[in-house]
Amino acid sequence: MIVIPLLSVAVALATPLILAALGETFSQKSGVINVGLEGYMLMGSMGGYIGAKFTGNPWMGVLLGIIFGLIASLIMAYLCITLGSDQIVCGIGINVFGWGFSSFLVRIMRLSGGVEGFKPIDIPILSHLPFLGPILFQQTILTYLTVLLAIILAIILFRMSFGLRVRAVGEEPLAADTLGINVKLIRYLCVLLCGAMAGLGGSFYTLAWLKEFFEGITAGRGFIALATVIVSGWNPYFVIGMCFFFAAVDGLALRIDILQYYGLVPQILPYPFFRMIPYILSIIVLAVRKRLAVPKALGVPYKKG
Amino acid sequence: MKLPERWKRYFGGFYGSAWSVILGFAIGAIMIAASGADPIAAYSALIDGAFGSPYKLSETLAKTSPFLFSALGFVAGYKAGFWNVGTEGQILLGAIFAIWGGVNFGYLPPILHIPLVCLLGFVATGLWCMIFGVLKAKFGINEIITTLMSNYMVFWLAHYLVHWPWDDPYVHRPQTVPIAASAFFPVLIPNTKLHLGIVLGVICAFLLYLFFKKTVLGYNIRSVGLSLDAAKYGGINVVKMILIATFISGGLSGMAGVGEVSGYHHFLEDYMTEGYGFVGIAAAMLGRNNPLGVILSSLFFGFLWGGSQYMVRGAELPVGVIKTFVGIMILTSLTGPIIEMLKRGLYRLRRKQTG
Amino acid sequence: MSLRPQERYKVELRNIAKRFPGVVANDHINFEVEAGEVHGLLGENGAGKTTLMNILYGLYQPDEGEIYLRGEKVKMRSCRDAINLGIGMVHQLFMLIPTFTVTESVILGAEDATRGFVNIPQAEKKIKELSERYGLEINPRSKIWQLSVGERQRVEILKQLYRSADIFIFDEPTSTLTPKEARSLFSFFRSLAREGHSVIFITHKLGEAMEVCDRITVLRRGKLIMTVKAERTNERELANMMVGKDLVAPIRPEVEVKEVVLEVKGLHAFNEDGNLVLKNVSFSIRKGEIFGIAGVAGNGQSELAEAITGLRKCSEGEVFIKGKNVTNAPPQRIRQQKVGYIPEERVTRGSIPDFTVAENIILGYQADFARRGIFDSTLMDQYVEKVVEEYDVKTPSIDSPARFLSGGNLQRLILARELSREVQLLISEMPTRGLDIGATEYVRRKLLEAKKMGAAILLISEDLDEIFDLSDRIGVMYKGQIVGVVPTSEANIEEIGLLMAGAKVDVKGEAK
Repeated sequence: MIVIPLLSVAVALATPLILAALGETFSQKSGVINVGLEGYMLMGSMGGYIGAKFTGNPWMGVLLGIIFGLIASLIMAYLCITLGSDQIVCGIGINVFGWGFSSFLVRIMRLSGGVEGFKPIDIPILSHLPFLGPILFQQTILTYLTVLLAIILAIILFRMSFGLRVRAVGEEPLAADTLGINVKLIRYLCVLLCGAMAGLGGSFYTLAWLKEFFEGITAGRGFIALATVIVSGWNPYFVIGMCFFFAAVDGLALRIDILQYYGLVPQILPYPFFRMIPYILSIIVLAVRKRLAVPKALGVPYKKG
Repeated sequence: MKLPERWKRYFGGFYGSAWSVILGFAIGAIMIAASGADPIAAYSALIDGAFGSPYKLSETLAKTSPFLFSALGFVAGYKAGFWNVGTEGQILLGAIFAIWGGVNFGYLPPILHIPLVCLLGFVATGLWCMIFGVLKAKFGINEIITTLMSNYMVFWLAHYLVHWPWDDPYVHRPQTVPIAASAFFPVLIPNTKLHLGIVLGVICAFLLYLFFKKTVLGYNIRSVGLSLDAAKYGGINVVKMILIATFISGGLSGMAGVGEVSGYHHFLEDYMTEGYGFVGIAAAMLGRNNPLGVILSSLFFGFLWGGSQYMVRGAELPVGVIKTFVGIMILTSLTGPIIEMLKRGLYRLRRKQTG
Repeated sequence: MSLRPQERYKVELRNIAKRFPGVVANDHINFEVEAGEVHGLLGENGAGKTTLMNILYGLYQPDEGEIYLRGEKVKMRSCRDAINLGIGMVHQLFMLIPTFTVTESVILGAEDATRGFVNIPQAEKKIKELSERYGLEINPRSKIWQLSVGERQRVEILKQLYRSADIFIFDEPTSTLTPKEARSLFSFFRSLAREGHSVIFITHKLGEAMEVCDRITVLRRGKLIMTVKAERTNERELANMMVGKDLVAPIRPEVEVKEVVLEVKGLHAFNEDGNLVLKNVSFSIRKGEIFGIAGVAGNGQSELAEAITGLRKCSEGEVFIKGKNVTNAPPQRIRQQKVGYIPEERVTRGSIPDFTVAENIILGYQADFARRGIFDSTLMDQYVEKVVEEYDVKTPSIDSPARFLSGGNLQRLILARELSREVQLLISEMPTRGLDIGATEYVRRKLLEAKKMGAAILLISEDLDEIFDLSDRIGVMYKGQIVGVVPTSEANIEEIGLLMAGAKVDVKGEAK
């Protein structure tokens, strides 16, 4: 009976990925590529930890996580949108900064130990369903929140005028400008949204998953979220699917060494190779897909005449 | 004073870089002060840690070596329009091959063993990076994602090698067996860890500079990086140029790892080179992607990295301060446009006054 | 109905000045448009017409001057202000997003959203109404990338109508239309004018301005020359105002026709989307002959040039240069056959802006200046200096980036590169597009010189006057095919125009 716990873990682990990836989707759709997702998430985890440690209330952690994510993305927005600087280097800078600053702040504040995080909540009736019950309906509040957010964001992108403008700005910012759309404002909003979402996603690790903090807690998940966005062709539905898939592999990898140790699973691949799978898979998927609907203005700062 | 055209461009870049550094230090000072430590104590510890004694200076230079190589690696790719953000992984891969070559050919005299290890690291990593070059050149697959992913692939490979087959049974930390002494890079100053790597790095910087400035191959690669369409129009074989550039790019980054293994540590352990690749990219950007400018900027980051370790002790700051500082520097290196804006604002002000 | 003096003008630009680094684009221009008027803004490329209108539309801020709309002074901080004040602009380069539908493109920025939600069916209905009312046929559900150029322009126009624009600005709208499509556009102008709107028509084509405008304002080098009533002037007068001197058409030397240099047989080619862009193209060009290809942009001309110069693979067919089969040969090998190529895209293909002038001059021939892979700078500098002087490329130094060259000088650089070597076949694509009169004359003179030296020239151009002036024979391309070839002496513009639009024309010139 490995399957059910595995899928349950997959749903849980998919939560932060989906949050970060959907935020990144908005950001990229508006033309700003953010490779600093890992940094945002680290800031978010740190925020979650600090907030919960200080107040004993995990929701303050969530709030603080979002705020830290917003701060990081505000820096990026200013450097890349207002100043027009290079988005890739900025993302790298945020990553390195986030790596260091997250542990720096926690040590400075002399915080250590666990936090009172979120416990899984059983949804009445639904959580008793035979297969899906334990997988989908015994998750933490953050996971349920994520589902809601995902639906809202998809509606915004496809049905609302804001979403239309975001797509326009990412493809032909000049065209949008001539129609009176404020390109920079739209990009700011998308980048900040990405920061908030990624910050929220980061706080998941400290508040719902591990309930403590250490340097590098996100262990590259930010990069995986980034990969899912590009590999899924900037389509939010595929993004969610991909995140779930990678989370499943992640979950499997975590358990695999225990399973192998107990002889339950043959020693086909040592644990590190499992961890490699998402990355190799991303590259293979990219290699196989022929046409990608890249937002045309992705990565190019917009300068007015 | 009339400066030749080219000088004006270099100086402009220099002002921008100088401003970024100053801004970075200012922000860092604020952060240090806000955390309850004394910025002056911190910065004096930093400077002392970097230059305070011949040994400390040698450490600074030793740290510059991997930064320089990975920065040069990034520049080589960048000139061809290939954003090699996989330098983190490539450094590790170079280190891995240096371990393999260093452990297994101990019967060779140093005069053969050292070049062998270098060649191995360079070629293997060059070929690895070329894979992503092919993916871009032939299939149009965005290299930023693929090279970013490649970092983690190599990381987990290294993790496996360090913990399982190559683990040193005599040491309690996860660390590989040491390489044979014949593969050790010669030390430049006795009783320090300053090794040949830095010299090789500077030589490579000059070679790369000349390559791009004076050779036809360099010209061809630059055209590909600047304008794919025009390069094709000019009869240049775009795919071939990207392959060559990515080979050199990966090879140089790999040399960073070779240097760390053969020159500095003589073994490989987990997280040993963490961050070096990204710092290299930052150094490349700060050095305006000019191989010679990169020598200076790598030196700057070597100074930061080496010195900030003393900041931890000297001002009682947590270890995270190093990466935070470097991260701030990377971000401030992007604030160059502020200078442009200020200049233009001043210009307009002056015009309004003179009417 | 008596109007106060200021209100006579719907639009008034007073004393507008705009400077860019190194050039005065608008030099204290006064410009007024009345209600119900089609007003032409005429001038050569670079005269400042687009800049002036971009200021009116809020894309640029003027350095000096004021804007008045219907008698009231306004400040245009951005396009949004202009749009809110009823100004609509149809740009030269269409501002459309290929992946959007027509509806999405039209409503973008003016979505009429109820609490943020877009109502597509409602928008579609309104678009259908507008398109029927003004005779602009379009399917609201089509995606932009599926549309033809004429249809895309209709979408641009619908954008403005949807926003109830009152003042319409059209920037060179006919450059990508067939003569017939241009005629329908002009009748659309007149219907707008009849409804009391103002239409500003930017163009550099005298004939068109005379045809449809009530008044014409001529700009030259950023300065206002004069505003005249169309019925009180003629083409010669306008040309003088535009150019400042009498236009003299270059004389085409008579050259006796000789051997075949380029032969193209049954060429087929696909583009990246899998569409057939060249269909069974066959023709030949002889030594000393200029073969002009007329056609609306986007009918396969660029692909043809690419196919001949090795930049595009042909799925079928063959290309021979002086008898040598060079089908699908790499560009380098084709260059070795003494082929010169002056591409349409000067900045993205014909040159590398960040390279120096010297580096650009040797592009394509770089190996000639190196020994064992390393450049010989003396050899290179000598050659470059000589050629730069010969072709009068104005640049501070041969080591300054090509980015700083003006359009005309860049074209001189490209000509210098391609023509200073012995050339037996020259492919030139839109060689005078975007150039001022001086540069245009120079380019045409150089082409005729090359012809005299015996080069076979393939001249692709949208400018029918240019085609008629320079070519010995004229071919028309439509949807990837050559639909007709006539010797220039027997051709007439009507017939060519019809062929360009896809009509089938028999020898006597009557449309089928």
